[in-house]
Amino acid sequence: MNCAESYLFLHAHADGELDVAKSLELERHLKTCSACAPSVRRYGNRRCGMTRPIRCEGKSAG
Amino acid sequence: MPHLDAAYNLARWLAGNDHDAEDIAQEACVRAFRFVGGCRNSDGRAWLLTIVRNTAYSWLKKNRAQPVVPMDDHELAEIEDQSCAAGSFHSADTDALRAALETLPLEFREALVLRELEGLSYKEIAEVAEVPVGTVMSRLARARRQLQGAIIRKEKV
Repeated sequence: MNCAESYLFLHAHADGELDVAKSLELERHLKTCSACAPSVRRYGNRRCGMTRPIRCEGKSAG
Repeated sequence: MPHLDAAYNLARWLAGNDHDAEDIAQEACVRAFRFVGGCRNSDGRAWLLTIVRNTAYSWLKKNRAQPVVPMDDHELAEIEDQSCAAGSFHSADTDALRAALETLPLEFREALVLRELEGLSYKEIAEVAEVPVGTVMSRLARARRQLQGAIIRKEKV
């Protein structure tokens, strides 16, 4: 796995969308790659980057 | 009608304003009623959102000059600034977040809205946007990076 793939998989992992095999592969890469560390800090531990307050509700919604 | 709020929210983020979003959501609902037999899964939300998306894209094509073109990978500016505070979009207020989201290309915006605001799975987003799951993964990663860049740029102004 290279750093570009790792970046993509990191998001999927944080979203709980990565399969076990890919997650293991990702963990192996992150253990040895210092270049990916800032991305891990930024995206690694969260499931969601945004919150719902900006969801728009129409007059007719509901 | 179930999922009307989700339909409106997607329409609003694709259209960019309330008035057009109302039109799009309404037209999508009319279509949904007409083709209700086409809904094969029990939830129906992804199905309705697919109709909203298609309605919105046709509407944009007809009413807006700007073409709907996917972003080129090479156009992506490297805005991952190692020194900037981690996770700006967590600290950004809702207005800043809203404004930043408006600046994203359509397909990035729709991926983020479907994931972050509607909580769809990657598979559902793939269905709605009619792209492979791998594309959803890449769009979301790039969209978040761009969103963060947009917020940082605004904070610096």
